[in-house]
Amino acid sequence: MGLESILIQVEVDVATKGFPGFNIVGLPTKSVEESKERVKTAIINSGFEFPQKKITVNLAPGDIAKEGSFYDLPIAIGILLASGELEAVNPKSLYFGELSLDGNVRHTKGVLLVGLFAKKNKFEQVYVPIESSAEAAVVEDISVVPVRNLIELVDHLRGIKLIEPLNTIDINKLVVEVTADFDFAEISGQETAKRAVTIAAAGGHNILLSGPPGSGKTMLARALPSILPPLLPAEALEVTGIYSAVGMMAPGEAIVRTRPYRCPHHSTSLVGLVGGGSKPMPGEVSLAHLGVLFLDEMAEFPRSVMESIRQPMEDGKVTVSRAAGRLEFPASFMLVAAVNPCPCGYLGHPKKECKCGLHAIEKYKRRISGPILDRIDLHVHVPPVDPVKLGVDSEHGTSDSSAQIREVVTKARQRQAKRFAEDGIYTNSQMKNKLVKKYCELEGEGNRLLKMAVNKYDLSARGYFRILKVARTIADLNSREAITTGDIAEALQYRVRVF
Amino acid sequence: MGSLETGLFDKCLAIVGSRKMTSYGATLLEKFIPILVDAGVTIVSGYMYGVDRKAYDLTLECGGKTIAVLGWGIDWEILPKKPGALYISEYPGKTKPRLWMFPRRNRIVAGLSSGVWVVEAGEGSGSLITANLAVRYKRTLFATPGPITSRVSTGTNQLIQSGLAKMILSPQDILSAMGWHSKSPKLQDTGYSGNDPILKLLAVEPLIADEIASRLGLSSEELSKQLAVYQLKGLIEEIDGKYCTIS
Repeated sequence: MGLESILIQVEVDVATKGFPGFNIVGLPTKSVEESKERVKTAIINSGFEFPQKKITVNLAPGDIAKEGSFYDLPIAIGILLASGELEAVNPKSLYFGELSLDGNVRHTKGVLLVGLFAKKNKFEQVYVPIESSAEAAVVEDISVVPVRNLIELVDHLRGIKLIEPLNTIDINKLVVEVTADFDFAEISGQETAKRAVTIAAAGGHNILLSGPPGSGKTMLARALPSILPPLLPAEALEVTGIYSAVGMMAPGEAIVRTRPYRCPHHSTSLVGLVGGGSKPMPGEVSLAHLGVLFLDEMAEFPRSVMESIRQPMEDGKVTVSRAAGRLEFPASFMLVAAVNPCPCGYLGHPKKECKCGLHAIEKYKRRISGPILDRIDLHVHVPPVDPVKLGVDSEHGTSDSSAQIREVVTKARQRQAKRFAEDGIYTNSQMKNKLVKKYCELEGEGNRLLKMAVNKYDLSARGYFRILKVARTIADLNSREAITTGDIAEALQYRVRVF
Repeated sequence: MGSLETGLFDKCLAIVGSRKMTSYGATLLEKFIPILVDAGVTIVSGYMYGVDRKAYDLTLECGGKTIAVLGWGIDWEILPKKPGALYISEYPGKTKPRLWMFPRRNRIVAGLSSGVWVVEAGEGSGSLITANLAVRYKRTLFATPGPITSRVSTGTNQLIQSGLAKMILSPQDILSAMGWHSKSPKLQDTGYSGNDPILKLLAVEPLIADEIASRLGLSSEELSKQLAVYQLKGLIEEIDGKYCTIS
């Protein structure tokens, strides 16, 4: 359900008396009902006997609705056991997979979650489709048996021809490839904005880029993946779990290696963005878990859609309530938002004139609510680029390349990983107030500066904690454990004010 | 006992008030003390629980200097060694605190300071004794107004009404009345004591941050730090991404 794994017991009874029939009970939905046809045809086509008796399959527990096509394999094995084709099997095994009519086992979504469940509940073996098996292979302490078809599986269980279980894949050895549309070195100037984006990447902070068209804010946002650090093994497992559950893992793929980067268009529906629906599925925010959610032209998103990301921004997850219960989807993402300063985009431009009326500007600014702005840690003004300077910059000395910046960012993330080892989070931005108090202590002058800022800019309590979190990241980027006055001063420059 | 630095007695402001400080009083202290400390003011107080102790704590939190005048013996209790804190007492050794010692201690508080700020005071409050001493010693007396319904503002409101105390509404009111100005902005870790280059540049024309950085050869981080401090001091302001000096 959602991303939680529940153990389903498949019981098969073949009665000696009674009219021949084949029934599945246990609140099966349509896709599970259809299992009957697939299982029967697959068994017959594999050359095994399908008992012409009264067959009852019970999917226990009986009060949870059963969905999905992966019950095919366990049901088939159950029938083969009940009809005598198979002798006993190891009770400490899990079976999972959809069957084709010819008896092949198809690539099925969710296999990583099966592997994780097996390890947690001390199962010894998992029998999963061969094309999905790599996903489970990253889980230690379980034996992953890749199954191509029913015949192979029966031969294995009868001991005639064993299938070689997969070797455990060491996540650390998987090479990460980083691709992005742009390299930071290609973006000329914009040092302040680049610095802000670097801080955002290092601490996983939400960032708002405001500027006229052509200022390069979209370019910066699209260059961001090039400076993001690779997923830590624990993070990779979390992200893969989600992608596996929604069926976004390609056959043969073992694990998601690059940090997610999602850019939904502003016409995306609320459910598409946040998740839900009649059969609750994760939305874009969950697909961006531990990665980046880029909302270009954020002011163009309908108000209700935008407000829906407020909760996940605060909690790091989406809670979907249904009559049957509550589901949680993880959604701890880094938000990158790009906005124009006004409807025409040229407010404050040094050369072009803004054609918007005051009323229109006010109305536009109100499109992004205070509470959303309040949850964005970094606010940066991206000024337009002077075309004349484009050539000059390359003489003045090189801008840092993405690879150089990524190195610095990765080091900062490693400091955070070490710091939060016992706390269950990965980045400074995820700190709740209690942890901020623990890790962001200030001394005299820094404290004074921050208090003065709180008074002068009328900062909310949330604002106060945000500045501390950003200052913590700045100190980490400088490889310092203590937060200096300079760090606080720099953090103050990125507080809410551009929109 | 504690640290005695040169210049400690240059700008002394006594902060006194009720032992029954309210959240309003605490808020006033939170708002005023950072700015007073930033201007190099030494805070003098009586170390009594309530306003005195809050002022002492906040001053040290902000990296400032404070003199705590005790109404009991200097060795009566163990005093926390904190940088910036100086404890003095008229009474030797382990002299027990007695009621009559406090008014006497108040004359030291008033005597050491050039200005006295009464934050909150009820009608019969001991802080009013310090206030009257301040007047007698010809010190500048300040008081912050409070709600008429608040018992602990009755004293302060009356001081203002009678004309004995200057009503203040912000820390700048105290600083300008005493002729104390903020010291020039300085950040220890950048090693910059001169801030003129940036201000000079902005006095000529408003510029965006990147422009300032490239003209002065500063890194983005360096510049951001300086800009934040100048903004806090009210030296520059930012409008639509451009920074300019405030005349």
